Amino acid sequence: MACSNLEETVLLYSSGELSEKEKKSFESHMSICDECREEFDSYRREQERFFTCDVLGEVPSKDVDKEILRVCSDARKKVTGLGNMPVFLKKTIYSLTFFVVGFVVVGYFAMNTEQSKQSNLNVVLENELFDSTNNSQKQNDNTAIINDSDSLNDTNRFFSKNRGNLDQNGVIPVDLKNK
Amino acid sequence: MQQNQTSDDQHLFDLWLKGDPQGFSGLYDKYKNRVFGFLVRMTGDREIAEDLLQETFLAALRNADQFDRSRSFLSWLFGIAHKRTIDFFRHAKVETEHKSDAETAVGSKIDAPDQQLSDQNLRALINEAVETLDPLQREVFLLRELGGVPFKEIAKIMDCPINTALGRMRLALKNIRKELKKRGIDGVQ
Repeated sequence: MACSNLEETVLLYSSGELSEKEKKSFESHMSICDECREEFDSYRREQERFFTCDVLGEVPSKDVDKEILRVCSDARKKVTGLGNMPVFLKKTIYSLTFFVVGFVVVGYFAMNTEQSKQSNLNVVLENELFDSTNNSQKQNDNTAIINDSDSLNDTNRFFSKNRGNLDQNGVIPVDLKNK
Repeated sequence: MQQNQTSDDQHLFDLWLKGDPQGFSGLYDKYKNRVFGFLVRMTGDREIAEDLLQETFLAALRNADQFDRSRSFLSWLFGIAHKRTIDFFRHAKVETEHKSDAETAVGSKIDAPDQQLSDQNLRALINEAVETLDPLQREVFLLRELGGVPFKEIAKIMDCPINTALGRMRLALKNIRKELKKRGIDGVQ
């Protein structure tokens, strides 16, 4: 084809994709160019005779038809109410849901952080309080230990006087007097 | 005519969205042969094409809310069928190979070039010529001729510039004519 640039224009003209201006320009060209007109006519005849649905299409089997209609009918039932909503409404619902879920998640973590900060502070305070209590307790304990050891010494002294030295004999003293 | 077609489709599509089974079956009956023809020619296997046909309509059903009403329903459906085909080849890693025996099988079917061709023979000849095309040329050709998809949309579907789509179509037509000539059909009078 001599009008090589116009080969594709023939296709666009046939598919109705030229603008009004381009269309008129091409039509006036075809009126003087036999080659382009023949190409267009030939393609149009081919479309009518060869490139039809009857020639290029295929018929699926009846079983396939039934199966597809059944499967698609089931799938249609599974589509929930959202399936019928307009797109903008769906988008609004999705974005609202996303916002609410995001808000809850962020809020939950923020609260947790605050609580953990508070509990850390409490632990520090408790530790400080515990330390100070512990110190005073230790002092008391020391006194008690001293007292206990005094009382043990007294007991030992009592039993050693009466039944011999317990440390040397390893005998568990039994106070038979009170039995 | 095209306008009526589009409004009919829109009406059936609305019925479909409302859950009326007539909407789906109406559109299915109207376009199944075209879509199935496309899938058979692209995969070269009827069974695979049947599975893909089901997947195509199911995908259309699930994504019905994404359908842009300014487009034709058939173009949209062919866009989905194209994606299903691509997915199939990607997953199955099946290589599309041209059937080398296409030419030899057809030659004997016509006794003389001027013989009146039966519809069945003509169908076989055209489809064999289509099968000899390069897969990309074949796809553009089928999208345009079976799906009536405009070249601008074909370019989008196939993710290529419009000039590439037009170039592939031009080559497809050239090669089909050459193949038909070999088989004794020299143009349509």
